[in-house]
Amino acid sequence: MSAPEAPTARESPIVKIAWGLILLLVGVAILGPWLSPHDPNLGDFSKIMVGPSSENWLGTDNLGRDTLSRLMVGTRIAALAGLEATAIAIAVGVPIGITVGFLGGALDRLVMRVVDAVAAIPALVFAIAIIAAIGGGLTQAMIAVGLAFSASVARLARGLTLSERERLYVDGARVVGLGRSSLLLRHILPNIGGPLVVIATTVFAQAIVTEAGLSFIGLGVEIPDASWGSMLTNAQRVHRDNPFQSVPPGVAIFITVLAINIVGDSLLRRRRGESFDHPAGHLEPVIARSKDVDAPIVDPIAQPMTNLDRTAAGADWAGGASRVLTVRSLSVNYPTTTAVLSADFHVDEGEVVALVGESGSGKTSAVMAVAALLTPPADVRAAELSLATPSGDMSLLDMSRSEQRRWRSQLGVVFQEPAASLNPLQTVGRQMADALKRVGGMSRREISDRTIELLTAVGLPRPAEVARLRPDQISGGMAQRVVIAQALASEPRLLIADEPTTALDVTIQAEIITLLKQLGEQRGLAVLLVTHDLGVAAELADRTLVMYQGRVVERAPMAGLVTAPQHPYASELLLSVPRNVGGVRIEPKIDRSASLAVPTAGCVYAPRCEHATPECREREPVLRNVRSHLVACIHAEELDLPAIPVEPSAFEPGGER
Amino acid sequence: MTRTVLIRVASLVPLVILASFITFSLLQLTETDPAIVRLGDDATEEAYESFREQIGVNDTFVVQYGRWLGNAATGDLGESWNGPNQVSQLLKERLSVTFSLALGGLFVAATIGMVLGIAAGVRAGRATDSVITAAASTGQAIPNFWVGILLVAFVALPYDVFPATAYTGPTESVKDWLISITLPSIALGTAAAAAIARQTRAAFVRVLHEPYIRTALSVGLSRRSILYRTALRNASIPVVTSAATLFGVLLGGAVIVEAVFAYPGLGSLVLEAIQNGDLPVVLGFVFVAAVGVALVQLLLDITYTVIDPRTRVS
Repeated sequence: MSAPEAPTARESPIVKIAWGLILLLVGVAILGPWLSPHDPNLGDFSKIMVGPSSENWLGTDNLGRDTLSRLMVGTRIAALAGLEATAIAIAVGVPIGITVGFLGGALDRLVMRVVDAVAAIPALVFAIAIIAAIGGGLTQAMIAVGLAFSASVARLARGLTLSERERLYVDGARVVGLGRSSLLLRHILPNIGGPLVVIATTVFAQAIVTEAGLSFIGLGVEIPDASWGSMLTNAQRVHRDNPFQSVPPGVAIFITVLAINIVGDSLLRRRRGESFDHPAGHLEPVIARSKDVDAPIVDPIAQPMTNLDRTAAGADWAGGASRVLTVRSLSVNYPTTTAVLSADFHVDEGEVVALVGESGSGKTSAVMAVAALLTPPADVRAAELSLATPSGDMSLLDMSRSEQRRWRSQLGVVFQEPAASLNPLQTVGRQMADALKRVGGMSRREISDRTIELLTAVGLPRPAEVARLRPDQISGGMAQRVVIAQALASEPRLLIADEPTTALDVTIQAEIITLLKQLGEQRGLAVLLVTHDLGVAAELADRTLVMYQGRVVERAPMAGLVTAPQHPYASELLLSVPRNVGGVRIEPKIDRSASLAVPTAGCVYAPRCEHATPECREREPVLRNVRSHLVACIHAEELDLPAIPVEPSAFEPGGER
Repeated sequence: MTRTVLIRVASLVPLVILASFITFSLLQLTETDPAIVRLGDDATEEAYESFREQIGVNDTFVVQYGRWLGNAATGDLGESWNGPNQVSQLLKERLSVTFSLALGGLFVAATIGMVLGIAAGVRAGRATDSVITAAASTGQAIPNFWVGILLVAFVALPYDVFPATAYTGPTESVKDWLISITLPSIALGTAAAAAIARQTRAAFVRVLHEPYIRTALSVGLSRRSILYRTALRNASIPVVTSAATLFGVLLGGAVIVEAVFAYPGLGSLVLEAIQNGDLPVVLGFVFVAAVGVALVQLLLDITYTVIDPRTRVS
């Protein structure tokens, strides 16, 4: 569960200014000859190389021509040159790139060889060679520049086409029987259009600089036409006497290119939607803030919970000597959504508590908040978030980032994608050593012994050999064992496992589940497990919390949940687990397309619930004791929900991937 | 390691050969008659014909290219059409200038760009990052030859430290050579440094979003260690990868920047050749540029395998 998409950043004023400049330049390019205060090619020998004045705002050149007027006329040349070169680069490169990317095969390999070879020649050098072949002059120069850039455009267009072609829906479209041409026209072209515009802006900016450069060395525009580049040639002839002359044309090129780059970057950002708003990434996690307990929602019908109810549901707030983690009223908010709303949970020593729910239910946000690993724009608040440590209780709330390290050393985390969770450039042993060094007080020898010990503990055969390998040299299952070993390095009391088996093959899943179970029992670890897979939860957990849309909707002992779910959503989840009955695989019949919009009032599950009544849409349910489960459903007593009275082993691991 | 290098060489050689073939074919488009280039307008038809026969332009395209490639493999790039000079000799005299500038530019770009990019990357999201990012976006838009012109007009001419026009080869005096390439290297390196800074910073930011950074944090590694060990090494991979392309851009830029400083490099040689219709020189110029880029690519590939062990061939 990644953070919900950040809202589209409003364009910064700089981007607006850049757009304004581009419009201004377009205006000057079109109207330049009429706007220019003087004839750009007519010299006035009475005022050669004068400085800026009210008559000649930017002074005059060595032939007495008005610099501003020449600059304005040069704008048109720059614009035309840029357009010509870009048009050629796109017209040549894009069709080649799309065609070979789309068709693939031998043609693709052959054409890409040629493209690579052209790209191996510096663009400007290649442009000069083309000019040598077809002759000089502005148009020829821009054809040359366009052709020189077309190789890299072809490469980019091919890349875009390839990735678009691989997209699932295109494959889907092919299955449906769309012809190749309509696949190209309807699916690929519309999707690569945007990125191509970004590429075009880059080419345009480069073309303007290249035109100026070629004109500067005399391969572009012909004298006496004013181009920014040829103006610089002229300026350079006289810069001993009048160095200022070289400033205006350069500034013109610089401003133009800068404006185009800024606009191009903003288009790119908009397309990519990468979160550049929080560039420190995982490095600067958010600080969990303390809050008062939410005012209880007044539910006129529900009876206040008695201590007996709480004990029944495994929620004895009095706590015990064995309490490891206590979380009260945890909320995680993102700018546009609430990932977790006022969740209460705790984990005791030796106990496995599972958070289950579908994607987007907030379970990962909840445990990552506990691990102090959520990044902005998440906003984490809780009434209590504390860990029992050998040296007394520790609270995460309002802990600074540097102190958070101390908190994290008390718990171990196992992540969803083992392969991506390890540094690709370092050996397993090195990464283990880094984690162990943090624990401190060990010699090199002890560290390497401990590494072997931990790798053995997680069931890796030949641990010394594994320690010498890099993550890309081991399998996903092995990587997950390494991640678990790393998590155990600081001998934590709490292990957080976020979908630890989701990314693994079915057979490996079972092994990792067994391993976690063993470790929990052997080391008396408290385990907080996140999974969408009730089969995994049933194998491992003692208690479970069912989450839906950020709310805990049911909390119960695992066995009780599997045999007698009290919340309609818990029942739905159970029925959605694919299972075998008498050798026949029964596919779940769940309509996940049902409205996922969070209602503003009443029960969040109501829009999807087949038992919903008008009352459900008005009254917000609170957790209350129903048949020894804590359930957030106002109709819980009346419902007789279906369950699957089977042993956990009847569950088929897998499912959602 | 040797194996890795050999495999890289084996993939670069065909690329350079294909590049030369494309250029050779391209130059066939011209209507320039080498006989007129050499003998002028007023020689006899027999003289023209015997010259054409002598340099082999009457042969078929394939034969001509095959001969050129065969000779090129031995370092012989043919004879200039314009005079009795060997193309390789002409290029050799000029190579040092252009490649000195391009390498100097790469050095300036890599050092300044990496330092700024790392500074921005480790302080991603803070004020330093904003300032460097803004400066780099701006710097990237500055045309290199204009920086050269400004440096000549406002540094070289007024102050007597750097020459405005005199190039000294490294074989004559290393010190003078360094002085003479300083300003052009800065001119070339400015925009490229900005590009590298942006790229380094972007790579840093991308790496900081990787799951393994979260793991490093969760096992308790310090901020310092995550930034300078885990992130820096991972972030340097895309930067090193693209440096060869950047060297190509700088080599092209050097052709123009050397004109600003009036240094006798490949640029002025090829401009003269274009004016004279001396195509073997143009072909040689392209070939030398492609070989130069390929060599830099090879060096970077080797660096790359040191940084990223995954690319090593075992």
